[in-house]
Amino acid sequence: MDGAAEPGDGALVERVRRGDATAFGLLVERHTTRAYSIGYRLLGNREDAEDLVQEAFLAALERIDTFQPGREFGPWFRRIVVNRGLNARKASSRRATSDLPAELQSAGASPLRATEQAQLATLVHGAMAELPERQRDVLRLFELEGFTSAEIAEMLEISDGTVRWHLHQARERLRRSLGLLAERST
Amino acid sequence: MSWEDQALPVRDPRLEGLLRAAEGDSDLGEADRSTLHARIAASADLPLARLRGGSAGSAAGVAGGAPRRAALRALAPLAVAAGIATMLWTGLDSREDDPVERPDLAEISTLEEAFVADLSEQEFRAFVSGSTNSDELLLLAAGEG
Repeated sequence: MDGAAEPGDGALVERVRRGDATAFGLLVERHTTRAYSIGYRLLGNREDAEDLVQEAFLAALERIDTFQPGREFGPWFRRIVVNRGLNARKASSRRATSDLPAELQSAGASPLRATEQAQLATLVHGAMAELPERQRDVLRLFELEGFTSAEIAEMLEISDGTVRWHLHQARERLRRSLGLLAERST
Repeated sequence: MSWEDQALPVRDPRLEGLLRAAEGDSDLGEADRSTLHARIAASADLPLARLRGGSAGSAAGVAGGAPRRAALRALAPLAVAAGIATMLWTGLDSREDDPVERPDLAEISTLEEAFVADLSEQEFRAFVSGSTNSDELLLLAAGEG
């Protein structure tokens, strides 16, 4: 460690407002991973998620003057990502359900293991497909990406209580579906 | 009890495992991350340049535009006053040019009357050159008339 304090997001935003490319690069480094995770969960594939992150950063740059000093950059930026992601999903048919996760395509997996995983994936996808879109989003962001219900509420611009209700409903329905799955497979 | 009042929800590892197995990880590999950063940086060149130009322009606007506007506001009453003065002046001029109020040269018979009358220089010269009484003019000029 060199001991030098990293500039906060607020200071970086101030520099970006003056067109500082280095400050913008630091913001990109800090927030790409989370933004990409959200994009991947909303759009279901890597290419679209990468495009979304790029578009979201450019959108943030275009409206950087509307960012209020003293507020946190992360939640503000994630709202841009989610809004654009939801719009992109509306605009095009979702390809997520047709994409196989990378680990299922792994050349190292045995044929039997790969088949089992593919079957499991198909069943989970089926169970997820029965959920309303909003419940799927909440479940993915909570269970897979580790966002809190408050963070999800801010991103989706709904109340924390509504997020918890969606989460409860989604879990109940999914557990029921996957419980049936367990009974069938034993 | 509302949903806000309930205890914070905790993650379900079993559910998470099933979902992750079905939907995969969202990890962006180091190589992909670098490529994405480079893409974003390249596409941000133009907007950032605009911000650099915009901040210089807005700084000039703040430095020069506001005082200019204040000076113009201060000059506004003067401009109005000047306009009124011009209107009055041209109004008076037009009254002076009114032929009805001009003195009738035919009624002026002496140089004293010509001096007293509000004649223009041209009218005065015409009056003087048309006069045959040069002695009277000289006497008047010498103060003996």
